[in-house]
Amino acid sequence: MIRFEEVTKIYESGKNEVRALNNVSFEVKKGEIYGVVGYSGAGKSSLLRCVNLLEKPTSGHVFVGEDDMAGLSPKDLRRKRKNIGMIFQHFNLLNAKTVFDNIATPLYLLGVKKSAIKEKVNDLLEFVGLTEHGHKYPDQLSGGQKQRVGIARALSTDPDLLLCDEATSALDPQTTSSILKLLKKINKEYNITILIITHEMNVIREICDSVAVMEGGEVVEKGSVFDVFAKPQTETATRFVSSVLQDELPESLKVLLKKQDRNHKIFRIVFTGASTGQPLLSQIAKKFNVDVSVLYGHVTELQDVPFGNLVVQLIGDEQEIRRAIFFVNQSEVEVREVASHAS
Amino acid sequence: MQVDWSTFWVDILNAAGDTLTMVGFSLLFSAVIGIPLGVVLVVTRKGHILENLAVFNILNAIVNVLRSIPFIILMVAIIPFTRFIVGTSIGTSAAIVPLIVYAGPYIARLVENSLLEIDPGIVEAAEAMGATPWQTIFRILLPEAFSSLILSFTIATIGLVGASAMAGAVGGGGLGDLAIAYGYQRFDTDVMIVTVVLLVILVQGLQSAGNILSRKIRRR
Repeated sequence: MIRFEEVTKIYESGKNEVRALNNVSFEVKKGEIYGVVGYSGAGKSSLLRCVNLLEKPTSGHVFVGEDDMAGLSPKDLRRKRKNIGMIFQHFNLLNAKTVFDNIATPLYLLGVKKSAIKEKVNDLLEFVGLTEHGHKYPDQLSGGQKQRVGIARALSTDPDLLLCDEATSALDPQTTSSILKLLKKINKEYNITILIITHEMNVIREICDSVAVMEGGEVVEKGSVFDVFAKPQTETATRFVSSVLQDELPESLKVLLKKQDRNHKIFRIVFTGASTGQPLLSQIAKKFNVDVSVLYGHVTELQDVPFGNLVVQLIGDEQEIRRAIFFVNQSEVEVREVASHAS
Repeated sequence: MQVDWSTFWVDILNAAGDTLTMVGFSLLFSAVIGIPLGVVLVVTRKGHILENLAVFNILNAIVNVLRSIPFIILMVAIIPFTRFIVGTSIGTSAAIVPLIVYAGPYIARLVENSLLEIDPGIVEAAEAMGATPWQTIFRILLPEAFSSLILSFTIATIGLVGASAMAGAVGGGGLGDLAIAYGYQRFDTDVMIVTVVLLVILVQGLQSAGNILSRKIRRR
């Protein structure tokens, strides 16, 4: 659906050159929800704008469907853009127009007949849950409602692709969650491919199928959300993953653990898929001469597959702990030592 | 000196009529020049939908030059031009020409400011929708700025009332002419007070009307 080929974007301001994107290549498949995560200044926003050519890549190509975006004539580009919906962090609604007219604007611009517009907009109002609010103006709505208007507006021309520019970053967690559910619904019901840029890893966790991690204008890691969460390869990705799957132990707990006089080791165990149901810990306790203590636990869902994350303390002889971990490694889980304390 | 009040009110009414004529016509024509000029000054600037720095810089310079000439000097300086356009250099219709030259660039700046108040994100959204530059200007920018434009035009109209009073100095007619001829040159304080009060009422009325209209459009 989208293919980035060695995309580089350089901004020049006076003598300074800022390399916002450096040789970025990846592909977004049709029908998936693709997330790009990175801290501010990582180049996500430029990347997203290169898709509908709000920004022109300095070099490289962006293909949407079959079309090389930079190669389109202005007229073809405008036609293509009607196939690419976009929603924004600050919604960018027309303040002088009602909700209804905001959603209808792309259709007015296309010259669609009034009666057809009315039907389409009313359907969209219902779809985003704003049927009662069509006559209101944007400043009478809450942030979440404004974003729903933005979404309805983006969908009015029946696009194949939806670009989300930090679409939930200005919203509170509860509203974020409802907007994310709406995006998922759009993806499922209309089979619209969605490209999201965000700095919030929980957005990636909640709805994305694939993720690219960006830093300093480059994609430093990419893959399925599942793989990146289970086995982050880079430091940046690890930091993003631990921002939602806390595996750093609280300081107070670390202090308490240091006071313990028995030999112990602390491991992070990641259960994925079917292994989430295994009674692994009780098996360890029975088979080996170790005590197991759960310090932190978390089970969530990634791409509709359960994903568990436990931090456990194994107490016992070095030998027994090693045997226990060897046993754990036989099953389909990821184990990583977090800290150890030998007495 | 004693004023003959029976003819005075007739003079006042005629003068007020002249003022309204001058302001009305010059507002109309300077809007016709100023609105497109203001729009062009916005859309041709760096990063905007029709970026064209040559056009922007030239128009920007012209507007600045015209805006920096004091009206009273402008009025005298362009007398040959005025005579070319309307055939005379005195009277109400002759005053309208310099008023347009004065207010056109002024309105262009006001329109430019109103349009620049619009969040650039809205223009970006229009581009992302696939709007043509023409559509962006007429369907997005101008409607979004409408309420602010009304206030801008209120300011421009009041500026024209002030400038039209100065046009009185070269025999342009109107309330300013009256105030200068009777009040200033003949030391007739009563006449001056009456004309000034009338100008104050006119300006107050225009400002209130502009505010109400703008609020109506903004709707709250």
